[in-house]
Amino acid sequence: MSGLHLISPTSVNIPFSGSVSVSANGGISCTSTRRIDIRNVFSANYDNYMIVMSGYSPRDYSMTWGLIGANDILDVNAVYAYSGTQFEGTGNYDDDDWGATSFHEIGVSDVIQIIGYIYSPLLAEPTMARFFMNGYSGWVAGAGIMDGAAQYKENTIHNGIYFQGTEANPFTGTIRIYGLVK
Amino acid sequence: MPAINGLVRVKATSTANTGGTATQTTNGEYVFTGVTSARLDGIFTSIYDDYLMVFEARANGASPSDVNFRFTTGGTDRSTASTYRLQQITASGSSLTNTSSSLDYGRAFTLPVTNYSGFNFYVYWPARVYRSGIRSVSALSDASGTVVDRMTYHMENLSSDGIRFYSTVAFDMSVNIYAFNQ
Repeated sequence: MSGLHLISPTSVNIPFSGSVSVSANGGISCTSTRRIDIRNVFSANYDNYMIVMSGYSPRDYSMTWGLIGANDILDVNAVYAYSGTQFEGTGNYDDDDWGATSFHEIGVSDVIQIIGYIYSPLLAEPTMARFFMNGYSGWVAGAGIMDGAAQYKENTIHNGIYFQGTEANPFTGTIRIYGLVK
Repeated sequence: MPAINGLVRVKATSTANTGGTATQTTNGEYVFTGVTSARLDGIFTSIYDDYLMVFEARANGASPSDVNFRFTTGGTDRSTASTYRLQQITASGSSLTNTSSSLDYGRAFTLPVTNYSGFNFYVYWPARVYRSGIRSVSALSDASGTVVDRMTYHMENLSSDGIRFYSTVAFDMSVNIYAFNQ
């Protein structure tokens, strides 16, 4: 038995500009997509999930990501919290927010590469996330690292995830969501 | 929909080494012993975007070995000046340092002698005609249990099909290669 399964979402919605396609296996490809809602990707078959995301957007930190709750509604309640570190050149930052409306902004631009984990989104408990991001740092004109942990602090069931940019900063790239077999 | 394996074993179309020996197990693990250069050809293709490489490695001799890497195409190094942009975090004991560099190669490992250390490479979009990146996470077998976390992105918009590791000091390295299904 494989320990990691690629999941095919029940539906993918892009309410604004851009386009999206889903491969026969479930891999998602976006082109100039302002927002993508990946619905019903969490199921009772798995407790925990791994996300692999690669691509680019015109500007740094122009995207956010968060959870989708009942009736496919984006959960943007200000009950997310995160703590993270960011390394660019010889500088580093600590970053935290305890009343955010999403997991975290995503450092995009020339490259965005993320390994993320979502823990127990279907439980009526806080949902936890851990992410390891690579990006281009405009400050040092080089590579940047941004890692962190986040949580949705209330006891709410979520069945999907969204990524949101802006009209001027859409996302082009790939998103794959894997379930860790239990 | 039936579950699709999330990780797929990848095998090289060929390998090349300088010094030492190279062997391949039936399952597809590559073992290089006492080499100063180890190249894996044909591992990155248009079938998959993102890859996971898992290494065990050590210096083969009395001196620590700094191992670098370059992407390759058809066995030829990608070696344009200043195209490998690195951000590196080193945590050793109670010390944390971060540095950046711009080189014609990427930094892969700093290998202690005697015992094997472990490394993961997450490789994003190497075969696409776009900037590719590697996030490497290590667990060194030195006295401090040092962590070295590196992000390297290759700025050239070129497709690569392989990777070469090299050093001035002989090293031992085994590697298993997987693709994230999509």
